[in-house]
Order: sequence, then C-alpha cells, then structure tokens
Amino acid sequence: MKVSSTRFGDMEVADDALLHFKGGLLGLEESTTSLVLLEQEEGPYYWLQSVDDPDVAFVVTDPWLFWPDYDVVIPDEVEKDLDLHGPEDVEIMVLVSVRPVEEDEYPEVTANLLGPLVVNSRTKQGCQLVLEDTQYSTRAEMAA
Amino acid sequence: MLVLSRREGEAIVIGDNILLRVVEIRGDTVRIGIDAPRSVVVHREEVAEEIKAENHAARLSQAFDLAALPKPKVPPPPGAPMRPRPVAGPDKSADLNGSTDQNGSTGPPGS
Repeated sequence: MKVSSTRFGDMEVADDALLHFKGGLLGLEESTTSLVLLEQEEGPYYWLQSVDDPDVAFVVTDPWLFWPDYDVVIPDEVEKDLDLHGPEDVEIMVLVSVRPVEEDEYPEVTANLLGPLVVNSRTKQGCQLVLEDTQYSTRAEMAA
Repeated sequence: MLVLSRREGEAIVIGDNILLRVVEIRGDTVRIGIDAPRSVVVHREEVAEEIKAENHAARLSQAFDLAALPKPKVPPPPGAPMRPRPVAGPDKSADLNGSTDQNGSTGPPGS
C-alpha cells in the first residue's frame, strides 16, 4: 500500500508492515491508529510513520538493547484485547524523543519506558501500555 | 463539574456500564474501584498527561539521522528485534505466564 510521509516522501509499504493501534496513542488519537514500521538496514532504531498524517512519525527502539532488565507487565485485559497467546506473539518498542539543547551540544535523547508500545506480531494489533506500579520514566536518558 | 459526596463503600454509576466505588478512605488517600468495559481506558490523570506530553515530544523529535543516536550497550542479538528477552532468568520475559508478580522490576533505569 502507499503511504505518504513528510520525511520520506511517498512510499510503497508491505501490508504486513502496517500496525493497527485501536484508539491511537494518548494525545495523538486521530493520527496514530494506523502506523507503519519502516525497516532499517541497521538497527536499533526504526521509524514509525503515521498512515493518516504524513507529518507524524516517531523514532522507536528495542528497549532491551539499552535496558536489559526492562520489565513489562502486560495486563490481562490487554492480553485478551490483543489476542496475545505467548511471548512469541509479543513485540515491544519504546518511543524515543530527541530534544534540541544548546547549539553544538549533543541533543537530549530519551526513551519513554513508562508508555511502551506492545504489538501482536501475528495480527499487527497494538496499543500503548501505561505501566502501573513501576519507577520507569517517560524520559529515561539514553547514554550517548 | 458535578460533585457528589460518597462514604466508604458507596458507589457512583456512570452511564450503563461504568461504576466507581469508594473502596477505602485512609488519611488523605481515597482508594477507588473502577468497573468499566475493557474499551474504556482508565488512567491516573497525571500519568496520562505525562504520556500525552511525551508522545507529542516524540512526534516532534528532529531525529533525521538515526545513525547519530546513542548506540546500545549490547549489540542487537540475532533474530527478531523488540521481543521481550529473558536476561536474568527464563521467566523474566513479558508476563504471559499467569504470574501476578509486579515487583520483578529492578527499579528505574540509569538516571
């Protein structure tokens, strides 16, 4: 299918690259119900492009590469909602924010560990979790 | 805003299928039980606001060059990325084994 992106122009993407987030992401509900995970030659970062709004794209990464002890508890209702039957169904990614700081300085790069995205790798249905009873931050610093 | 007074154990019904019950009042904390359909998203207000703000920040990131972002401490393992991976033990992957242990976390990541 065809996806337009402000950053990447018009792209032809495989149907199975499409992720469906029922209800979208908090605060960006309208533009984030359909997202495409763009494959990168070299990880560990990926672009998650909105299908509905060419201007909306996120950088995501695999949290375990940076926080090997990262612990995600998937609530039962989410497990049912996304039809998750086992660990092999589960893909988890975290949103990365890059905040500009003073010129010539390295930007502040953080990951949202409190609100990871969980996707059923079979059905491509996903949602954003809000982890309960954890100390994880929405702005966990990623070491340069 | 509609304001109602409730005692411990009493509840408020919203629409056909949402019920809020004051489970416990202790000091300055009220514990509230919520019965709602799964389609109704329930979050603590301040947490929802924080996630919203961060989603917006992530969307506005000017990270055009992914190669310039921090490199992981461990190299990506072979196989599928973004799968929960056991590190400390075989059962430390995503909680799909019926375990209700919410304290398995090792605390906040390096800050």
